[in-house]
Amino acid sequence: MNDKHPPGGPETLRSALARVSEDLHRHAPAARVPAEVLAAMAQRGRAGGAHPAMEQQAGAHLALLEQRGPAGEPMAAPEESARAAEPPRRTGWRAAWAGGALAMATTVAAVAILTLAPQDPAMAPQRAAVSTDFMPVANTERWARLMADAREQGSAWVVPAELPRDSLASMGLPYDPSRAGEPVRAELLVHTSGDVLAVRFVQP
Amino acid sequence: MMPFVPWTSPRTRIDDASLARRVAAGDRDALALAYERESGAVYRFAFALCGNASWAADATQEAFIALATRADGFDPARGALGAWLAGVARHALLAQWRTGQRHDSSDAWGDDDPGAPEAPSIDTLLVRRQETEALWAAIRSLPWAFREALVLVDLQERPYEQAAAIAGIELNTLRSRLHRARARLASLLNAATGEAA
Repeated sequence: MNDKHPPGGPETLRSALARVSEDLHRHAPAARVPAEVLAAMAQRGRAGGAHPAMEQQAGAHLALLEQRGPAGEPMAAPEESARAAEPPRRTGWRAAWAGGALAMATTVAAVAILTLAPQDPAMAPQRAAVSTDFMPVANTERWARLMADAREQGSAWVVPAELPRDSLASMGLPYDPSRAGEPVRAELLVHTSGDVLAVRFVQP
Repeated sequence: MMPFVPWTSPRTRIDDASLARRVAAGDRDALALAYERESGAVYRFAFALCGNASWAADATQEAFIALATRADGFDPARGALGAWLAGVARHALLAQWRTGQRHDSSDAWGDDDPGAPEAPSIDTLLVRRQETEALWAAIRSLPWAFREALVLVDLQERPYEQAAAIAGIELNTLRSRLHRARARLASLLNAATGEAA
């Protein structure tokens, strides 16, 4: 705090302002960058495509997912080594995301990434250990259309994202309600149109 | 289940100029880093000025939208990135005030006329002088120009030069407004004490 105070009670005013300043520091904005800011960034962003490494990974995942098709057991990602046993979970189709907010968050994240210039590897997020396989989220018709398109154009990306924790439940995965307020980190397999093809959770 | 691994590796601190350049180039990670670094101070500045969490959040968002869309407008030679963002948030708040978008029950804006009469919340001040809420009411009853100087220097402890840059005024003007703000606030508090005795 600055030293010069009016003569009408500097200590009183100083302590009052210190109290208010301390109270002010308890206020904070949302922890994550708002979706609207990302959308604004995406609108002005370039159409340069995603990071080459991300695109290569996506191609491999697409091939595996295509072999499996829209239903059935998830297949292991090509770069993953054997993992510890996971709790049993339901697999198969999920016709839609649980909640409009979830869909909006993932779409915005996907659009933002798709329109960004390739990122500097030094600033790219370090790939964390993966906890689940990629699980398709498109319905049969949309899946067929998108897979055919992706096969033809050869373009899809792996996009890091943070999703509401209850999205675990929508995918049939174990969900701890006591952590409902915490986001869960995931990776999205995204088509060039912005449609999300599949998801896997990185840190359930 | 695999143990959790941190999402990002530790980074050395990136200077404001480099960060702004990366944001201008469309780097989402750079934008997230800028938000992580600067959003708290920007939000608290806006909140201290208007007393409304929603308005403060809107102003903060406007600041980062400006960064996302006009990062090349930031000139590191003129000051810190945080000060630039605070200045944008300030403009957003002023724009909101000028269009008359006030909350009906809020006295958040006070009176912009330095010669305006005392705030209407003196009764609250008499009863709860020593409480933080009363202090906030006194601060927010100050005219905008005085309130802003007080928030920037005394509450956020920004350097005088940075505070003047955010407010868009000369250094001497800032000092003058700060002096008058402190005197006015002390007068309010002393008046409340006198009436309570």
